[in-house]
Amino acid sequence: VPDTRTPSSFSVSLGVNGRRVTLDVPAHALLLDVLRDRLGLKGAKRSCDIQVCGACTVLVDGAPVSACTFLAVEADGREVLTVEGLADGDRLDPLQEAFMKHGAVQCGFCTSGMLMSAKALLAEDPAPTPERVIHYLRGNLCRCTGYRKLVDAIVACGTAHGDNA
Amino acid sequence: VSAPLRVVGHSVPRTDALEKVTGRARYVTDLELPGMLHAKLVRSPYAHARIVRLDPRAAAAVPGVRAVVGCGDLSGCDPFFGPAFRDRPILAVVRGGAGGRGGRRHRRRRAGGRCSR
Repeated sequence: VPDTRTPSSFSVSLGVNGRRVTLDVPAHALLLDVLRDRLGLKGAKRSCDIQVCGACTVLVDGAPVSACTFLAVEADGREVLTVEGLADGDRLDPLQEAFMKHGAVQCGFCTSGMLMSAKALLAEDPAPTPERVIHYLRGNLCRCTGYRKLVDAIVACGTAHGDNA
Repeated sequence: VSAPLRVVGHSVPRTDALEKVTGRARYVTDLELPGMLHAKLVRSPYAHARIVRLDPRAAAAVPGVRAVVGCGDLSGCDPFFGPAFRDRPILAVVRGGAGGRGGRRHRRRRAGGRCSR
């Protein structure tokens, strides 16, 4: 009789910032813990731990997810992009440049998640209006309350992107 | 009458912005040190109360627990800290310490003063 109980661990294979990673993870392992503790990618932050604050936002196949409530096994066969994978070597993503230029970084704890959500937004809408940005970032909280500059940076980045296209 | 201003009126980039937008900035929660232990804070279920007594026995009996630390264990250091005024207790402090001699409310010390233990 085959053992039909849930195996205690799974082998998962996922792309992380363009690199193929294969590892065994417990069934209950969260993507955030795998990224931070197994792969050493500390950019995504654990803050609320209940999918409210957005500090752990990463992209899975281009879509923003809260890695704190996303099982690592769900990422099997998919592509994960974290803040560490935004820049191309020393060449920063335009969003990273815009965040610095517009002063959209304060304590920095929300920054990784903000960048990843903004990345997803610009992929969807290359020139979002401020209203669109505000709506899209509703799942990312900034306790420094630096929202105005975040919106400025993303809108400017979108406009610049649109102008260059 | 004066040299041109180099800071006032200019947008000065943060010195740590690059670290932060690349995810390289390290926060306390990102640190991993050899032999590092994890702490669980026990917080008061009451908004405003005196600590009369702390009984650490059940917590200390949990497998893997290395230490239970209360305000009574802070005698070797200044139990207060703060960026401007050192008036914030590291752990809730009761006058008389964890033994709770009388459980009187603690008095916060003034900056530069001594802790009223």
